[in-house]
Amino acid sequence: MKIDKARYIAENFDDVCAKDRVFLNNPVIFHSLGIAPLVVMDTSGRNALMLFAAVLLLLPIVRVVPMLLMEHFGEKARPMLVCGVAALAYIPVYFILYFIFQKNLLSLGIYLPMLVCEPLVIQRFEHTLDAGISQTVRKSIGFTLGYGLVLFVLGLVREFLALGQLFGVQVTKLLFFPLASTPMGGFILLGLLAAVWQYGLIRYKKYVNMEAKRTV
Amino acid sequence: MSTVFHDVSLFLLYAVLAVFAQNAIFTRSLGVSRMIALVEEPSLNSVLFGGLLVAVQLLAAPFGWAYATYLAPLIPASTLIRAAVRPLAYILCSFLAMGIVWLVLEHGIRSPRCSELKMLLPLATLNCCVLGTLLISGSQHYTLAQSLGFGLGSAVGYLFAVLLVTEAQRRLRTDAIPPMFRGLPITLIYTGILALAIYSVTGHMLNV
Amino acid sequence: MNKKNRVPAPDAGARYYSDVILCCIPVLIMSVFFYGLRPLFLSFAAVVTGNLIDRLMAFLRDRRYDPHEHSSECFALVLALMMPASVPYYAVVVAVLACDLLGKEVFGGVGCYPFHPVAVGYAIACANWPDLMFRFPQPMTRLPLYDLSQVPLIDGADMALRNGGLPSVSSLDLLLGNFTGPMGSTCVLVILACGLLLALRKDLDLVSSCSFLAACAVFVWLFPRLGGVSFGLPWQNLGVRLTMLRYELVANSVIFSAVFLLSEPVTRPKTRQSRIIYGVCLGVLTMLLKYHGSRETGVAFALIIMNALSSWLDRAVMLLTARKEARRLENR
Repeated sequence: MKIDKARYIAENFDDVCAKDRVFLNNPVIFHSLGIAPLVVMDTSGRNALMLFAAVLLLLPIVRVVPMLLMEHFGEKARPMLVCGVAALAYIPVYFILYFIFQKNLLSLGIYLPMLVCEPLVIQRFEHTLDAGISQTVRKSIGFTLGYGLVLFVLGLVREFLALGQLFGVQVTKLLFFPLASTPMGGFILLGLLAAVWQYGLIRYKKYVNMEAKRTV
Repeated sequence: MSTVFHDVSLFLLYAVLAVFAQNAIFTRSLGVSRMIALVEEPSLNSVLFGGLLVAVQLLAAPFGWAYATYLAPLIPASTLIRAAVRPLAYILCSFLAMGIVWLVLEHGIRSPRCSELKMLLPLATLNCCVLGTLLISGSQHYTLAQSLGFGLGSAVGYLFAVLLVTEAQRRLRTDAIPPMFRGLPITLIYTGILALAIYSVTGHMLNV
Repeated sequence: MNKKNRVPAPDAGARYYSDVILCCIPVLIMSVFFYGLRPLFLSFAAVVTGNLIDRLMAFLRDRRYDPHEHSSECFALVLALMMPASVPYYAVVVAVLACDLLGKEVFGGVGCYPFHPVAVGYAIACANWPDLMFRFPQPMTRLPLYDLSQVPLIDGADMALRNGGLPSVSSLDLLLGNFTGPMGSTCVLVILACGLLLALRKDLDLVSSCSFLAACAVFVWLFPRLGGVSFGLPWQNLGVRLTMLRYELVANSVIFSAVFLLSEPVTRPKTRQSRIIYGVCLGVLTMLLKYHGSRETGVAFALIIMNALSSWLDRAVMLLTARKEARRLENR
C-alpha cells in the first residue's frame, strides 16, 4: 500500500470504515441488522439468492420514499410511515420475486414478509433521517451489497456443511455438520463468521498503521 | 362452560409453549436484531419494552385472528394477492394495537414513565416479533384463544430471552474474551448455545 | 521473568481436572470390559484432540502452553464416556472440538466459560447425530475398531421407560452396568466409588450433587412413568415407585452427571444456598426434559439452561441474605 494512502486511512480510520458498508462497516457484523432471516432461512445458496433479491428490491424504496414524504407527516409518524411504505412496497416486490423464483419462494416462509419489519430494511427508529437523498441511496446500495455478501457466504457455508451441496449441486456425500441447517447452527456459524470478519478488520487496521509508519 | 374451560386451557397451553418450546428468539430468531440493540443499549429499558410488547401482542392478536378468519378467505388463495398483502394487513393490525396502547398511555395513565413508554412504543410494536407472531398465527389457522395465548407467550418468551442474554453480558464483556469474539460474535454464540438447550424440547425444525 | 515463559503453579482448580481424569480411568476400564478396546481408542482420540486444541490456542493467543492445566483433556474424556461405544471417531473429534472451542476457548479459556463445556459438546453431538448418539451396542460385545456395519445397535434402557414400559435388566446388571447405554455412564457402582474418592479429595460438591439427586428422586417418586401410577397418592403403589426410582436414576446418565458434571468449579454457583436451589432446579428440569423432551436424556440441556442462571442465582441469594441481615440489624 502507498504510504500516503496508508497515512490517510490510519488518520481517518473511523470515517473510512463508516463509508465502506460492504466490508469495514458491514450492516450485519457491525450493526447487528438483518439477523433473523440469516439465522433461520439462509441455509443454502438458493435461499441466499432469494433473500438478496428481496432486500435489493425493498431496501432502496423503503429508505428513500419515506424521506421524501417525511415533511408531510412529521418525525412522530416516522415509524408508521416507514413500515407502511415497506408493507406497500412489498406487494409489487412479491410479484416480481414470484415471477423470478416461482414456488421456490415458499421455502422462505414467514421470513420473506417479515422483511417489512426487519431493521435492516426499515432502519432503526432511534436514528434520525438527516442524510440527503443521494447519500441515502448510496447507503442503501452499500447496505444491500454488504448484506448480500454475508448472505451468500453464510448460506453457502451452511449448505456445504449440512448437506454437502453448493447451490443444490452435490459436492460431497460427507455431512460435516448437519446442525448447520438449524437456527442453533445458524447462530453459532454467524457468530463465528462475525468473529473472522472482526479479526480481518483488526489485522487490516494493524497493517494500515504499520504501512503508515513506514518511512520508505 | 366446558367450551370456556377448553379455550382457557388452550390459551394457557399455547402461552407456555410459546415461552419455552417455541421461543421467539431461541427457536424462531424473531426480533434478534432488536434484542441485541436492547442488550447493548443501556438507555433502552428492557422491562418496559417487554411490558409494551406484551400489551401490543395481546391487542394485535384478536385483530390478526379476525383478518385471518374473516377477511383473508375473501381473497382467492390461487392469486398471489393474499400472500402479497399479508404483511400490510398484519402491520395495520399492529398499528391498531399501538393506537389503543398510545391512547391508554396518553389519557389513562399518569406516570412519570409515560414519555419513556411512548418513546419505546413504536420499537415494541413495529418489530419482527409482533409481525412474525401474527404471521405464524395466521398461517397455522389458530383460533382466537390460541392466537391470544401464542401472542402472550411470544412476548413473554421474548422478554425472557432478552433478560437471559442481558444477564450474560456480565460474563461476555470481560477482557478474557479474544478481541475477535467481543461484541456480536460472542452474543450470537451464547444465544446459539441456549437455543441448543431449547432444541431438546422440540427436537426438530418448526414450521415457518 | 517473561510473562509468556512463566508457567503458573498448579492450584486447587487445576487439581479438580486432574482428579476427574483419574476417576474416569476406572470407568473407562469398565467400558473396555464391556465393549473391547474401542472405548479406549475413542477416549484416546478425544483426549488427544483436547490436548491439541489447548496447544493450538496457546500458540494463537501468544501464550505458553501450560502442561499442568488439564481442563481440555478432562472435558474431552468425560464427554467421550457419555457417548455410545459405537459412535464414529469423527463424531467424538467434532464433539470435543465443539466442547473445547465453542464451550471454553471463545469465552476466554479456563475459568471464563458460562456453560459447562461438556454439556455444550454433548448437546451439539446430540443435535448433529441423534441416530448415532441414542442407539447403543449390547454390552459384552467386542466391538471392531473401525467398521461397525455388522454390529446391531438398539435403543437404550431409557427408551423403554419413555414408551411406558420397563427395561428387562436385573438389579445386579443395573448396578454393574451390564445394560445398553453410554459407554461410561452405566457402571453405577464404579461411578459411586469414584464419587466417594472425589468427595474425599473435596472435588465433589456434595451440596449440589445431593440436591440434584434428591430432586430427581422426589420427581420420579411423585410422577413415575408407568401406567396411571403418577395420578395416585405418593404412598400408594410403593413397589412400582421403587422400581421406577431404581431405573430412572440408574439406567441413564443421572448419577454420572451428579458425580462428574455438577461439581465443575467455574459454572456452578458460588454460595451454598444457591447451589441447593441450582441442584433442585437442575433435577426437576432434567426429569421434565427426560419425560417430555424430544430426547431420552435431558441432563446436558438442563445444565446449559441452569448455567445461564447460576450467576443470577448467586446475586439473588446474596441480595436476599443482605436484606435479611439488614432487617435483623434494624430490629436489634
